[in-house]
Amino acid sequence: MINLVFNEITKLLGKRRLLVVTLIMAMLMAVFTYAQAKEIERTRERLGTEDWRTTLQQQIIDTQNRLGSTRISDEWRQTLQIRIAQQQYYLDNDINPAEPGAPTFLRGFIENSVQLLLPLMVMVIAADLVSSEKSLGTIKLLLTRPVKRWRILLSKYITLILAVSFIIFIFGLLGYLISGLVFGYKGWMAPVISGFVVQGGELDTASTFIIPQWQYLLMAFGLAWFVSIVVGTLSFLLSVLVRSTAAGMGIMLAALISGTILSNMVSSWEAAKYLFMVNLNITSYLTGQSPPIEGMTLGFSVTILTIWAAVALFLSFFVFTRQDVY
Amino acid sequence: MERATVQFDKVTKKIGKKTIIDEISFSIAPGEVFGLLGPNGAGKTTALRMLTGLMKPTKGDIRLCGYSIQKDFEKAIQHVGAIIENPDLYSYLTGYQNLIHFARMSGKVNKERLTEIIALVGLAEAINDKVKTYSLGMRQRLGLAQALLHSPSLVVLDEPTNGLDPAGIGELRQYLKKIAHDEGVTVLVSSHLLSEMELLCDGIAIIQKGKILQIQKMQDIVKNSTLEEHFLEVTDR
Ligand SMILES: Nc1ncnc2c1ncn2[C@@H]1O[C@H](COP(=O)(O)OP(=O)(O)O)[C@@H](O)[C@H]1O
Ligand SMILES: [Mg+2]
Repeated sequence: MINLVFNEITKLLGKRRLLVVTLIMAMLMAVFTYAQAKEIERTRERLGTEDWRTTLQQQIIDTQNRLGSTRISDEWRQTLQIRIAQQQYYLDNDINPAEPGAPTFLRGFIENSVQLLLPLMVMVIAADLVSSEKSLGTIKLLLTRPVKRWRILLSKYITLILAVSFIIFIFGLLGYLISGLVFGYKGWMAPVISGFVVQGGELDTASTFIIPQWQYLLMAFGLAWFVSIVVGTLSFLLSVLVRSTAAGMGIMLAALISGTILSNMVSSWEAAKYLFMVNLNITSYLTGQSPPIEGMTLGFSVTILTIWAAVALFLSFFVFTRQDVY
Repeated sequence: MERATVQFDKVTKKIGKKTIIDEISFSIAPGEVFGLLGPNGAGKTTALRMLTGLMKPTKGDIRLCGYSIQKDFEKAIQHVGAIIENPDLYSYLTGYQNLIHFARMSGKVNKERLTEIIALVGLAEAINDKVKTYSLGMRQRLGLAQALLHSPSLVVLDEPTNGLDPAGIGELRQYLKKIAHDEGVTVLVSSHLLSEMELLCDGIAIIQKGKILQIQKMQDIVKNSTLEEHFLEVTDR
């Protein structure tokens, strides 16, 4: 089995996909670091102060002004109100929600990447693990060796897990190193409030707790890893089912993008919460944003995603070990 | 009689409603060079796909060295080296990486064997280049190296002369005859080219539209007529 995994890794590196993914992430990190640095600078100029309390206070006032406008939807209003309540809670507890530094940047970045960017990167790797062998024709050589088909597929799946872990790790490392150039490398111990619960459109602070930022990041990255594995497994299934990598990627891309759109507009379509792509924004449970559909919780999303992945994995093996190879 | 290396027993393959292979039966003795001869679309590749376990027969059984390819896949396939359809290899890897890849899957292949086989197919100079830079003939040779790597007792080659120049074809023929007659390796080739089969094979099966029309020892055919005449005679019916 180790030999098989070794083969798969050789091929993965030969295709240079990991390199491409790493470069894309590095570029995005640089862009976002720059954007955020600009933003901070602008706020500082506008308010003429470096004190985070004043800044936060001003942010709350700005949001309240937006709430005054009549032309915003009820859902958006709710989201904004929850944000204000949260910011107020930080202020009341005298905790800076955005302690400057690379770890804070990383926290914001992972929260924003977990729904689309990371799944896309993982998809690029996973979607052609099997289909490329079919379109190249090499599957004929792969499957005419004294190795059972399920072992070959398992070696590919193990490689996928390794690749996903590598992507998450590189994501963290790059984010830290690149943003640290601008924001400095400190802030691991900064306190973060977690455990907000959104219930009936109201922010419930009863069960909040304060943890150091490194611990929060560990949780966020763990969840991001989990989501990436799930998306990877689903792409893997597509890769088994279709011959063309492009078709597999197209289907997955459509699902992921529809997920981000649906998350913003399905609150009245309750059954949508069983769709995997609506459950991907999993770190939002840590920050305490209102979920896309009332009643969704971290446990719920983890369960749904696990079921999707388990079914996909089962189908992958079921089909791969039986299908005729042309 | 010795146990046959390859045994097709009333093998049928249907895809959808179409019968692609229709109850074919034949067997190949150890050390024999056997040809599957038939026009394009006759079902040669499909038969070889089933033989190598890539496709399941709808009916019937295929045995390799006595082991059923379906029930005893690993045992049946371990002595087989094959190129089905095209010599498709990983174009983004070097020739050497490709060989290592398949050596790892077969076990029992060491460095000496790798070097030996690379020299044999004449790829020593290009072996560390990416396969995408290879010509069709070079790919064909690398495919052959891949098929022979683990010293199989059955070599299956689907239209092996595609893309080889006449000198290459001659070399390949000499080599296949040598391993068959000196080392007892069984060789199964498919082709639509009569002249080639005539020079290479000890026995042939003529296949058309999924059916085997005739199985014969080469010397019996060659005695009366040329193979070409014979082929036309049989397929005309
Ligand atoms: N996947 C498939 N689905 C349906 N028909 C197929 C498929 N593959 C091959 N065929 C048909 O089976 C017949 C035999 O094909 P093949 O075995 O490739 O012939 P050969 O190798 O002798 O040229 C052809 O008529 C072809 O159209
Ligand atoms: Mg063919």
